[in-house]
Amino acid sequence: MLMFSAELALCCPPKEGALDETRAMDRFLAEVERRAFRIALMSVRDRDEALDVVQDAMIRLVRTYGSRPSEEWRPLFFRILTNRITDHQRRQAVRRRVLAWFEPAADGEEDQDPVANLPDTRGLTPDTELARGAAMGALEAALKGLPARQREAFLLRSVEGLDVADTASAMGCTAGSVKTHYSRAVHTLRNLLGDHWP
Amino acid sequence: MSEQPDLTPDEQRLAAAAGDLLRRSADELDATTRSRLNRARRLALAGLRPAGVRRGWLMPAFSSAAVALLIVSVWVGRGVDPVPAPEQTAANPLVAQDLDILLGDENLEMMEGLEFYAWLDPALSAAELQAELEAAG
Repeated sequence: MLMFSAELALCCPPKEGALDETRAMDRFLAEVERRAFRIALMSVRDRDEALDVVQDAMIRLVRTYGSRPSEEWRPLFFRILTNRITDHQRRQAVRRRVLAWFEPAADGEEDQDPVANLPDTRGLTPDTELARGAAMGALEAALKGLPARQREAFLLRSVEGLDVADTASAMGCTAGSVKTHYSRAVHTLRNLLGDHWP
Repeated sequence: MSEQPDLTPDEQRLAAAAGDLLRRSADELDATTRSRLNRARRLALAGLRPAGVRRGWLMPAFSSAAVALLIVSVWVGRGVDPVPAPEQTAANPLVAQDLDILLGDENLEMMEGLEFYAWLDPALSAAELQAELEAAG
């Protein structure tokens, strides 16, 4: 087997272009993965589920669109991500309806990751961390209160920094719809967060 | 956000501040999540093989050849048994008995002394042969 692998490597060395393609995809995914996770987490509200959603989106992008020009990757990736989030929310809605007939709602306390709850050691002062934590908590609560499409438009534009055209491509709707969703999202957030936020 | 002229400056500030806060929280994800994202990325990239190998027909051909070679070597290897196995017939269920002994978990001591029994068997045969020779002769 080793001999076959060695012969294969000698007769078919990986082409430079293919390696560049892999490196470019690696860089792209590394650049977007954390924000993608944050966006997914805001929508599905479960860390494991959010990680699954992001991983599915990565795999789908690589397998289906890896050979497309790299300029197209960002809107394609976020299109896949928003579709996965929508699928997940639909499944969750069905599951909740079904489970409601059989068992009381679980509180989910035992599913929390103990490592994720360890104290953060990144050098923030307690006051700064407290203020940021309060602002973040209020923002997360407000975002949860938004309709799904408004939240998607807001997160794609504000967090990922997509322009209207790319957001429309990612959400599978028109640029006009994106503007409307985004505008309504910001109005609602201002009302929910109050005048003194952040 | 100049593409959204309907937003007031205050709303634009709010959107910018919210975006900053969320981006910062994404940059400061805990180590466990970063590690899991890294693993997810590696897993996804494993599906993106270098074109020289992915595109050609050689990979499946070599895989098939390797599998065929493995099957042939296993098949041929079955016939090249260095220790001649005793014939097993309905009248001589020796192999089945040995198998029972070897597989039985209550005979561990006997299994440990297999070398002794292997030595004892030809030794007894020689002694019996000597006795027969003396009786005959």
